[in-house]
Amino acid sequence: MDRITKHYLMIVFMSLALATGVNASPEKTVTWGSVGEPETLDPGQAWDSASVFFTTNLFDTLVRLDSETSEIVPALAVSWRVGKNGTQWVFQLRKGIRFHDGTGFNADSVVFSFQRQMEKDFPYRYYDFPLFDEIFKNLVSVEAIDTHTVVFRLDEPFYPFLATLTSSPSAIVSPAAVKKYGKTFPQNPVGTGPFRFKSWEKNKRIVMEANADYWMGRPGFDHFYRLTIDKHDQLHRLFREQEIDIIDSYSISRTAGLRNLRWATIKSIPILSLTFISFNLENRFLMRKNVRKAICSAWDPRFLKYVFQDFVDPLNSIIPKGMPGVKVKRTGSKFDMKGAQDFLQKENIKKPIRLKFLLLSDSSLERQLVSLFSKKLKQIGIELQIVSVSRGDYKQRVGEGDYDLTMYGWIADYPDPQSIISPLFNEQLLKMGFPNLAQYKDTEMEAQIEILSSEMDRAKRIQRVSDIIRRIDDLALCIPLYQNTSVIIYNNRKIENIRVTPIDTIHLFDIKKK
Amino acid sequence: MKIRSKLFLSLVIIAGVSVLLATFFAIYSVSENYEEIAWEETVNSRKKAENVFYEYLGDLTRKAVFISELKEVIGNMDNPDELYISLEDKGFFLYNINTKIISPDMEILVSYVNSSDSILSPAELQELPFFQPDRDPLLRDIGIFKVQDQICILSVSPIVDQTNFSFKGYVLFELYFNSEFADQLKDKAGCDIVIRSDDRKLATSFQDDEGRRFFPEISRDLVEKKQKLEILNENYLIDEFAIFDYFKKKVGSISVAVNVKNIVVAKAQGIQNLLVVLAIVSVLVIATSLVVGRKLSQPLLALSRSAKSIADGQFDIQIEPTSRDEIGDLSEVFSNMAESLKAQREEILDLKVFFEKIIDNSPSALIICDESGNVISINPAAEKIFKTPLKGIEGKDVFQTLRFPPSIKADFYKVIFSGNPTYHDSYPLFLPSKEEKIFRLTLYKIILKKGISVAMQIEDITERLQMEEELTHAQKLGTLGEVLSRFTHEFNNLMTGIIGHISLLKLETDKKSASLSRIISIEDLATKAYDLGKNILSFSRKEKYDTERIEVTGLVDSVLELIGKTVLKDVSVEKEYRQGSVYVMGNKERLSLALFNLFINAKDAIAEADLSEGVISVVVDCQDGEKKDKKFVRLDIRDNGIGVDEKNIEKIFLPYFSTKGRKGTGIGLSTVKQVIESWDGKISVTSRVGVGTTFTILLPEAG
Repeated sequence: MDRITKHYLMIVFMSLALATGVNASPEKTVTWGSVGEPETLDPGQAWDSASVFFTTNLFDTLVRLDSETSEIVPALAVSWRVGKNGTQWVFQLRKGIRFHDGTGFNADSVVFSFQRQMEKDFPYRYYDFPLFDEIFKNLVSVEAIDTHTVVFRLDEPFYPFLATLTSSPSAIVSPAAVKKYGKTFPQNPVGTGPFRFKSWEKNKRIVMEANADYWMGRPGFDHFYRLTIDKHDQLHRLFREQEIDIIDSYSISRTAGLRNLRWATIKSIPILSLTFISFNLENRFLMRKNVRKAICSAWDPRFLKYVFQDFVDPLNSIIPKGMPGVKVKRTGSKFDMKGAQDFLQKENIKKPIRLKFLLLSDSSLERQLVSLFSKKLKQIGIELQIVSVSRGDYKQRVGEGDYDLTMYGWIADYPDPQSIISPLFNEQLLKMGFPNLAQYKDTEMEAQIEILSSEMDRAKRIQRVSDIIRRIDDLALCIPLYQNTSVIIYNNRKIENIRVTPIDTIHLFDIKKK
Repeated sequence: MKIRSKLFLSLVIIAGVSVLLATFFAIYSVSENYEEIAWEETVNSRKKAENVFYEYLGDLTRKAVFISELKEVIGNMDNPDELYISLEDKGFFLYNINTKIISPDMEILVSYVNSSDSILSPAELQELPFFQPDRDPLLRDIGIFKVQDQICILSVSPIVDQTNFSFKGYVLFELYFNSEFADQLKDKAGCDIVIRSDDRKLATSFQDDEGRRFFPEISRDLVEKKQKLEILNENYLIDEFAIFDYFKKKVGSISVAVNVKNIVVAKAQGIQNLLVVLAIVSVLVIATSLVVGRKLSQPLLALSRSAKSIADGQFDIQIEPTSRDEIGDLSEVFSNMAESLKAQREEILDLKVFFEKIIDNSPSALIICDESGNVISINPAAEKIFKTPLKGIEGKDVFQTLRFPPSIKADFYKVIFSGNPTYHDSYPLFLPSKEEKIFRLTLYKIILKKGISVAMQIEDITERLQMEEELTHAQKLGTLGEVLSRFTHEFNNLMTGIIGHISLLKLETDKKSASLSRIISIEDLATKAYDLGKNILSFSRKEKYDTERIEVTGLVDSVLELIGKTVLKDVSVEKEYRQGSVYVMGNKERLSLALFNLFINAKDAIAEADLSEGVISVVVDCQDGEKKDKKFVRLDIRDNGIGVDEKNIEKIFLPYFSTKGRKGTGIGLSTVKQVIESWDGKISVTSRVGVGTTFTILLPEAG
């Protein structure tokens, strides 16, 4: 009887409390479900989409991509000017900004954030930053002129420099926090972004909360939960039961059921990305141009429709659609089985050609794609053996050159064709196990790429990009396959205004919780 | 008037008025409450039906893809008769679904009608958005369509010959919203279903006593006002959801009807219970009124004092017989009653302590709720699982605070209404900490005089399931070992023959012949293969474990030789034998197996760390025992792999513990420990995450 009495008394008290506290608005929470975990929360290390997702919202960059217009707009920098033929960039910084740990943001924080990645012997450098050198290879120094002015010096003009400042490695970190956490900074990130880090339970969830003092204003909700749920069916069940507001993984058949749900919106936005088939040019067959041309001609882009349905955009050049500063007419090879045979005959190869196609074991749709391709190739006398390996083995085998063909893709780090072309020919990346075209050694091509980066004239740049694309096509160095779309499924009764930038970042700040 | 009469009259008036008032309020409040519960139940059923309906769409897409990829379909597109027969033979035509196979030029090759309603004419077929010329035929699609007076789900999937990637036609499923479909929904959602288009009744799961289907008169008004509808002398509550077609236009609705009979029964029961409570209350009122009667009668006052003592739990009372009238008799009866009450109360107290102990120490979590789902009590196990003290959730809605999914809520009411317990053998539950665990869930109803409560018994079986899985895996590995052993035995029998013949061949070959060196190489290799087989056999054979004197460094070398080029091929191994040859007592095969296990472990730890250079170092040395009376051989196996977390290091030697995820069996290290300890040895481990792990074995030296 005791507990029952207490229970009724409590109800009375609770209703009293409610009656007096009606004005306090309830806290808003957004729950996001995903299948994978980020590798790190340090923006300098973030290269996978899950990590970039967090660093985008925990940190700010000097300039950022507007999620509506895709233009570069001020962020931590309020204005900038470029001088000395494009080798000197001066930024005026926003005043009165604080990091989540309460320390102030100023020119020194900018210098610190870049130096820790740039200088190998920087005292607060606790680990390596694999992306920095690739993106900022022309950067010579970053200096503070006064508390709110910084200058970046380049060794030669670099047209996309402003665009590179929107990438994750250019985010500004709290120097005090880096010094405090050292090696564990990737688990304790401190920035100036619209959300602050709360907790990370490995393989379970990551929690962020709104930064009420954010310089653009208070975010549209208070708490953010990102749950890691490795089973797709469970993720979809939780979404259907409205336990989760947003999911970013889909299977094509499951979206069929969701498409009819009025409260579910499926958003599919093309992003600046490239997925391609690359050749191992050291293979005795693939080192011959006509063999590569034959393989390219046997690729039927309709495979993509059959396997991926409407969820990818087929590409016929290495540059994805929507990339600023590019005008490409239709290039590349057309699907042509007769042409493929003709190319092979030119090489006059007697033996059957047997090639290994290296694939990641967890990509079943890609496997279906390659299997369709292999049947076409068989018709022209090329036998493809599909080898599926785990992620770790894949990197190792690619790094050691233990493959003939493979399929890979990435998303542009910043919105400029340089962001696709430059990593395609980076030898270091290939050694680390990211397939690309760096095996191709050609001084003329190297020169072309070199000139492109320092070309400051827009019209000339467009011409140079076309030249490089055409050259890659002529040499048949790869088969450009498709451009990914970012698929977001959300509960439109609870969430509105979710946007994805062309480089696949999502500013949670935009999201409104109803 | 006599005292008795006065008392009687006044008490009857007081009690009568209060009981009447209380009854009125009770009936009012109870009926309000149950109306709400019944409506909630109806809404839950509607949600469930909606979920089932949309899952069905996804399911139908997958099934259409499945049929379109069958080799029976792709291979027989030129031969419709064969196509039909092969599909029917294999049972690929689905229940209540019409299957059409259509050629690229829209000729219907196969039309299998599995429901009575196929009305899609070839002309209507051609007009579907799926088959318009501007649409890519390689796209699969699904949608709801209104065809004449009917509504159906149509699902299309392209048939593609994958050998030359040519488009061969389409698979089309038609699922009409007919009675069978309504029955299917009813089975899965657990409530009656009525499907209507905007102007027509399409399907119903209602059947009268003679099995004839009928449509109850459902109006939109009924749903909005949450009014009951009488169907076949039973009361139903109705909720509905709209059906949108391919063009997102509303074409009809699906109504769910929930029988409220059980809810009404529960309501009657509730009122009855309340009346009982009220009766007790009125008795108390009378008892209290006795105090008022004190002035009228002194003996009555004494009695009432005693009654008060009893109410306070004081049973040791003495009532002196005052007079020989009715009051005197009453005093005596009262006295006896007090004694018997005392005895009963002690018994109850004992029972209470007994049950409380059991509940508090139960490993299963128990949550007791009242009939509206508010938490009354939870036991310590539940506090632990849900990481919340009783104070935090007492009196709160259990479904909201513990974030139980709606299906548990539905079960909860099922239990209340039906009175039958429900079980779930493995129920994945999302804890407030956003953790997912698997539980065994039992809900049962407890009826007490003071009200209905529901007990939820929740057992966390996540770890047990995992253990079972790992045990099965370990057993499988065991079987594999046996197969390997048999195979190797046969292999070595063959090898013996081969080696014999090679020796003969060697003798027969001319000493000057150029082939002789080749034959010797073959013999050499064959002997190596035979030795390899022998080594494998000695590992997998079950032998008696006799102890013998073993030279440790030699044994380490032989183990490394066996696995150095295979298992450890990417790892560099450094050996250091500080004392030369050292001996221990043990069993050679068992010790080899133990070392083998440790090396594999080290290798896995290195692989997991993703290092460019993995190093395993082995040190063999001697050291004194703690009391300096014994000498020990010390064996360190160190790797620079991923390391073990401090919190796991204690568990590393437990059976079934593994940090290797699903890959390992976890059985290795516990066996190693058993083996070493059986020879009075010791094994210990030190590890740091990211630096590496060292296993140290100490075995008594055998001089």
